[in-house]
Amino acid sequence: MKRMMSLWLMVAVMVLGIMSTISLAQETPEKIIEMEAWCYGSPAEGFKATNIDRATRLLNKMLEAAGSNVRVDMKATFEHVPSADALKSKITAAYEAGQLPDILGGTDTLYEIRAGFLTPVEDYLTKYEDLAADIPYSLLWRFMYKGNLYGLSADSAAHTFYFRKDVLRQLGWDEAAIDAFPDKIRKGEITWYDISRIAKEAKAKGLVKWGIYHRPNPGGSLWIPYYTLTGGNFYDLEEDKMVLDKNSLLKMYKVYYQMAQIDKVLPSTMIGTSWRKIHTDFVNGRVLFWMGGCWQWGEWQRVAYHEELGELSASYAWENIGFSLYPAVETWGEPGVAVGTTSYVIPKQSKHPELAFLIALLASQPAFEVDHNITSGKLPLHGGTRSLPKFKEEAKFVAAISYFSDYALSEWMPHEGWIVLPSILVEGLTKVEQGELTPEKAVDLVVARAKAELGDEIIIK
Amino acid sequence: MNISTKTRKNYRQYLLAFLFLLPFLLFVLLCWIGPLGTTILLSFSDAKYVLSRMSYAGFSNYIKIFRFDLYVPEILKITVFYIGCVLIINALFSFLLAIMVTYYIKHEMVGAVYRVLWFLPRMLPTIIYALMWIWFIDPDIGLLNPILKLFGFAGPESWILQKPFSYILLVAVNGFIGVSWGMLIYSAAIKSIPISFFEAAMIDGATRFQIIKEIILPLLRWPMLFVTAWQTLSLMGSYGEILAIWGSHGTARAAGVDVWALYTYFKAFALGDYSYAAALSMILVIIGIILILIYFKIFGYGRLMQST
Repeated sequence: MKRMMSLWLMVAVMVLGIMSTISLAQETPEKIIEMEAWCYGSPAEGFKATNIDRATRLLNKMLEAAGSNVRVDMKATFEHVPSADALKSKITAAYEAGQLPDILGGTDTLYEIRAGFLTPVEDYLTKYEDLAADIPYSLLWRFMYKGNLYGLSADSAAHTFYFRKDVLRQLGWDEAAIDAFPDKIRKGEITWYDISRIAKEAKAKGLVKWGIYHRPNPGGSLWIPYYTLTGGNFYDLEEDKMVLDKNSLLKMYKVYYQMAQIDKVLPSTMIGTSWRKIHTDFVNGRVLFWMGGCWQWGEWQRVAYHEELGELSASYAWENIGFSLYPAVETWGEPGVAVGTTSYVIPKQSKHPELAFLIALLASQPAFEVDHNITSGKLPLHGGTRSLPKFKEEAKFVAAISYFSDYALSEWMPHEGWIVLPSILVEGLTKVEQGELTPEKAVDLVVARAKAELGDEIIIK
Repeated sequence: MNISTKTRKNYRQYLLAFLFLLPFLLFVLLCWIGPLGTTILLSFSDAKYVLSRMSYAGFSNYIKIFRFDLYVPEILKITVFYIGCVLIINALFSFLLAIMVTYYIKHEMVGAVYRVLWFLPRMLPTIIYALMWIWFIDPDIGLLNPILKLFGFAGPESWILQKPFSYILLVAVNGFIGVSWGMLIYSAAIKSIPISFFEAAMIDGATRFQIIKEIILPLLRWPMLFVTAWQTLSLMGSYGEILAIWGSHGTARAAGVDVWALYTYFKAFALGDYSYAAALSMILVIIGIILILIYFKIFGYGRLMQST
């Protein structure tokens, strides 16, 4: 009896074992494709990597539903790297070691294109264009260089001109005037000189320590006055050369000179100030105007800059911080914003470039993109994202600045000169702000340096 | 012992010595001679963005440095100023400091405490050291401006950007960290002077100043040569603290603290122009060699190497 029971027990165990082996064999895919994605950006842009993960999971579900035994194992990482040079070095070293990932997000696309790290993706985009049907053409085909497309837009970031509503209230402005302020800027009724005058009044009354801050190192927001004057940027697409309009540059430097040396509302030592001090001063109401970007709206709610509140609540931000286009330089002139897009790019070293591209494209789908827009304050690529209930309810800020697209001036300058020119421009800017040079002499300095560095690759108008 | 046995014995001794030196020689080969050779090759190439794609470009990089680079004269002036000022601190002040903490302070423990305190900045990672300076010079929360105010001086709004304060900061940051190394070398050298020399001098009625001038100074000629030469070469290649404090090349240039090594770093790692950066580095190497030969002449290297 006992022997019979032992025998049946053994058979039962064997059958169970065989069945589980069969089921495991059925569950285990035959082919696992291992992929990697490295994403970078401000502290509020973690969804760049999260969305890659979500896109991969979606793809795997589709593969499973189709009965395929192929699965993708994606390792997507996100990192905030303050130093652009350090990031370039890392990417270059990875390239030399043959270890670039399958997807890069938020890196210096122009540098990588010129260095030959990237795969052209226009064929893939043409193949999967249905997935991008509601992305504006200018955003979709942004990363063109000498006839090839090298990147897929990951998001769109508009520079945003912020102001402290609470300070304007203390200046005696009523709510109607404050609400109308962005519209007046939009219409060209308010210029940079008006901004300086308002800032001067606030500073004179002791309401703020400084009237206006700008970024402390070379970057797009500094040159917006120039862009609004020229209607373009520093690149001539037809000639494929850099271009410098002396008159517009002079007008721009005069704006900064007015603010720093005449009205004294802008610190003459703005360049070199720490980012932490800039954000802390503005968030704590010690500065009236900040020449920032839309991604900072999300950053202020995720990083504890406020000395009492820590991370700002959304209600505090809406109550006390306003935003608009960057003003025009001249009355009835054009206001504007520079719009930059970060990209997902596919390094040449990827063994599965088409698959990587597809995952990157899926990562920007409205259902995923909306979370990135809500947390980062960046503009959506897809038209469909704007109609999502979640976007309307939670991306109130992004919805409010969506009209910026009508005034957008592109920051994409696919020329090597754009790696060199910003340093020269900021050198001129610093000397103007410190009163070391007049705006006229600063323009002469910039022109001389630009010609020396770029030679025939720059057109001086 | 016949000749061949003696030769074999010598050979074995040389081989043994070579084997003991081998790890160090390999290290020198991999970490100094190899990179030097690579830099020389790069300087004659057109390597940009990546090193794996380059071709021979002759002397074009050197021609560009001397004929077409608008920034080079300005950067050269700043570099000479920077090295000159910091060398005075690193080579001269460190000597005075060593005299104070080793000769004047008789109690060994007290002297050791002072030496450790001076050495602390050098022990910190560069970024931490730079961060402490950034906090120290901050116009709102830093201690420097309030301290200066106590003595009747008004500090600037920005030590980083406003000249000549940016120059003073440049020298202070690097001098403060460099002085400790020279102090240690000189301290060790002073300690190695036989006590009997000092005792004999004191018995003969020599003052402290005379002892320093007639005994310590002449006997420290060799360490002086070493410290001066080493510090010169070190300063020529230093840019870490400058980059960490000024943050970017554009800011450093605006502040007038764009030294040769920082410019080289910018060309290599911001612009990816490795071949041009290599040529800039080679200029530094050549200047360094020339300076060392001049130091050898000044300090009487030949005489120092003669047996006593």
